[in-house]
Amino acid sequence: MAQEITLGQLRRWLILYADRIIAEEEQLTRLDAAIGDADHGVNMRRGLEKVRERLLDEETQYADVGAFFRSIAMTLISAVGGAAGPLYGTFFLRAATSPHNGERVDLPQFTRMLRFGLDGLQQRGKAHINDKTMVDTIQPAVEAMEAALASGQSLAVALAAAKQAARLGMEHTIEIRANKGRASYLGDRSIGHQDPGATSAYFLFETAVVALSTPVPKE
Amino acid sequence: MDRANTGVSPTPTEGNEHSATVTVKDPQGLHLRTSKDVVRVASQYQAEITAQNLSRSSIQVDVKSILQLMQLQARQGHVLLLQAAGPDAADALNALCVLF
Amino acid sequence: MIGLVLVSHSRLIADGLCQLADQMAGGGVKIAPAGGLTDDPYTLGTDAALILEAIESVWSEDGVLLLVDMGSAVMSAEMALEFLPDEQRNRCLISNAPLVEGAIVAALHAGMGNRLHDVNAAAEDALNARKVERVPENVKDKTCG
Repeated sequence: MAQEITLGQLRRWLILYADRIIAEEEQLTRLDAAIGDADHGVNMRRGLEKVRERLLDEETQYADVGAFFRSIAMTLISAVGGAAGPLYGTFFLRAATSPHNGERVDLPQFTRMLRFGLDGLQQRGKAHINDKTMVDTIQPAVEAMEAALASGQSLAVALAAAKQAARLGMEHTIEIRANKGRASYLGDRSIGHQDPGATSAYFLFETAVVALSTPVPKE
Repeated sequence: MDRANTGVSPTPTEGNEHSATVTVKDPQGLHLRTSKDVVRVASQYQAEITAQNLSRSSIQVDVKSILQLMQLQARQGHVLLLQAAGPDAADALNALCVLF
Repeated sequence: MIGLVLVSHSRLIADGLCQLADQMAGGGVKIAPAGGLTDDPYTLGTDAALILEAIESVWSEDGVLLLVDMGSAVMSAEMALEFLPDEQRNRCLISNAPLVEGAIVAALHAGMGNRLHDVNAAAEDALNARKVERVPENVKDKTCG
């Protein structure tokens, strides 16, 4: 199995992610209604619809992986609207600044991209692990990929490990108290609810498994 | 221009300190736009200038701050006490009196 | 003379406030609104790209003060600053002032030619400005009765 991720696969990843977010709008809204201002679903749906539209447009060409991520970032920044816009925007923008091989990335490069994205996200949101945010999903996922990489696992295994860690991280947000964003105003009353940002972030890793570890037929 | 207020000459109180009372003539009271002009004019002087709304027994506010001027809540007919201290205090009050 | 950028989740608020601030500035100060999203102007939200455009439209060597409403407006403004080259970013400042009062004060002081940090200090004073003096309940009853 190929150990590199192509531009075509990345494109498919973000289309699948957009589909997932659009399908899960109501769930995200419901989660955000419990502890936030109930706009995460509609904001993410609006942003990812724009992303999807651009990605499905055959005319859209990307010079390289960096340009691809930058384009995703700029679309999200301008179309999401809520705090998720600059947060996801920063994630992809920082990922874009990490080294890659033009139209493809290998596992070490891809892992490093996600690490760059995570670091940027944490700087932007000033959030740490256990603050009940998207960081609770993304950080364990990135760490799982780094561990898989260090132990010489394949791309498919690394992506599966990341998804598993992301899911556990997302579910863990149910048990913890929010320290960031509007949910933090609720204090202990935020406990018992899964964080909407952690949930939308989980879908990234969920869709990555299918999109990035199998070849794109057309390529 | 407000005839009644232009007639008020700043009264020297002590050394460089002067004071004057002015009556707000504008039917809309001391609103944002007038206050803007007051701040602009007052800021051209070195003197420290305060205003107090005698008709409301308000606190003393700094006339170089638009937000503080708005706190005077001055309506038409309200009497304001302006006090200035500094080398150009008298000139400052002369210039300000015409604005209300 | 410094420039001002007014960031709000609402295009209507940003545009309306711009009009008010323009009047306070008495011309001469470049003030740009950055409300709502680029493609969906009347959707509530903030957009770092739109904020960046606004900064560039009012840019001068004297710097730019950004007034923001709340929440993601701060994050989007920070992000917009990161897109700028260092020498420009160092001359931009996000104010802690409340948006409406801050914009009024900042426009006035910018129009008087004050420097970036002085304009911001005046705007941030708005955090302490009271709008009404609360009359104690018992006194209010007597007045009304």
